[in-house]
Amino acid sequence: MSVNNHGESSSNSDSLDIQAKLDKLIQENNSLKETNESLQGQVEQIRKEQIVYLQNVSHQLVAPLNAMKWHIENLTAGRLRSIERIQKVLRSIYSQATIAVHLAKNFALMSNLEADQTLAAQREPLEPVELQRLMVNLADDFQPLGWDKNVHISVIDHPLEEAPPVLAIKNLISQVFSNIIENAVKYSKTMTEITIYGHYNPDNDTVCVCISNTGIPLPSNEEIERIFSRGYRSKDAQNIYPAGTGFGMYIAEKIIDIHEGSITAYTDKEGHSVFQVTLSVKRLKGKAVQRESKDSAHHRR
Amino acid sequence: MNQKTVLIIDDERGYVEGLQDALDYEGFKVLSATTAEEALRILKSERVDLATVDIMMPPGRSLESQARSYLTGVVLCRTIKKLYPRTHIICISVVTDRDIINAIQRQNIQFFRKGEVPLRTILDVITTKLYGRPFASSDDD
Repeated sequence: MSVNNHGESSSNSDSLDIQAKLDKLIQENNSLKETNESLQGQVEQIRKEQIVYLQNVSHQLVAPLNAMKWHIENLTAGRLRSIERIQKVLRSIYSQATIAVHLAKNFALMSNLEADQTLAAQREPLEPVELQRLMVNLADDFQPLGWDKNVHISVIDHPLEEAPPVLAIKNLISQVFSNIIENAVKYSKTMTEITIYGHYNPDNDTVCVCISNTGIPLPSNEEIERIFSRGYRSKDAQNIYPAGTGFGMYIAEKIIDIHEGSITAYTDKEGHSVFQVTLSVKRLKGKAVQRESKDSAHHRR
Repeated sequence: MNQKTVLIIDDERGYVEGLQDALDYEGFKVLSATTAEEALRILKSERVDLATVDIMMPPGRSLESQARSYLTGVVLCRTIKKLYPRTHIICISVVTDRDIINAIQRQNIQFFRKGEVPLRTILDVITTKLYGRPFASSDDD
């Protein structure tokens, strides 16, 4: 009897155990279901973001290419009546090509950044880069885009021309300044000036370059760092250019990080939006000697 | 021949200029707007025979609350249809989202994808809508 009782009691206890385990499994199952639903929600969200992103990419790349096609169709069909108009259209084709190349480079960089934040595969050897000369070349490149809005890009040579070259990956550094200058043109008010200036700081052996424009205001101080976040676009920026991706400044910051430099944005006392990039000269042996003689030449002037 | 007026509504300057040159050459009066708000202002003051509408473009300050920028054109088409039923509309955009394209086509508006359509086709469509026959040449008009 006692065995029997014990048996029953053991059997009861077993079934309680099983019930408890079952309850636990049901709970875990429910919890997994919730996690699964939540993950599915996140996947769906990412899928939607990707669609919007690809639409933006497509819009941005197709727009300048299409504009070029239509301009060329007008030229070949003889629809342009004056030499002045033909010249203007050719300038416009050049601008659109500048935009397309610039965008394609950004998207390529972005894909590489997604795969590897250090852009290891993109790293070409460091070389001395004269920032004043680079700024003049980029200003020339983007000026036709500026003329569309009567925006003039000027590089103030002095004292930037006296700065020693910085050691940098030229292709990447060029993209940083292209992104900043292109934004400055896009978001400038019509009939304003974009000013590029800079100087060498011997105390920490760096060269600082500023790009200043007058246009839509930068976000407030608390939000200003968000400019460099992936995909961030201010509401004003979205209203002016709906199809932007918010990658330009993100890419710029990543490239500057690789160069151990700094990039900041602020509004100056006159209300201009200023992007400031500081890069180290990093005097390496050999190259430094070469530059020393150049520096001396500058000092002698 | 009575001159017809075409309003190009798009924020991409390069594209606007290309279409404008072609329409100018064919003898149309051409107006342009870079935001939905600006387009509605022009429609209020000018008789517009046909509007070409982009989808993704800025709504303009006063319409910010009514339209998200990547759908501005859909809302604008609906508004033009309601307020200016005699104005023809065609839609030219890069969007590939079937829902958006359906929303346009449900309004009986022809949709053309930017970059895939030659200007000549657009001129043909506009001439057919405004003169009831395909484009031949400006001398015949």
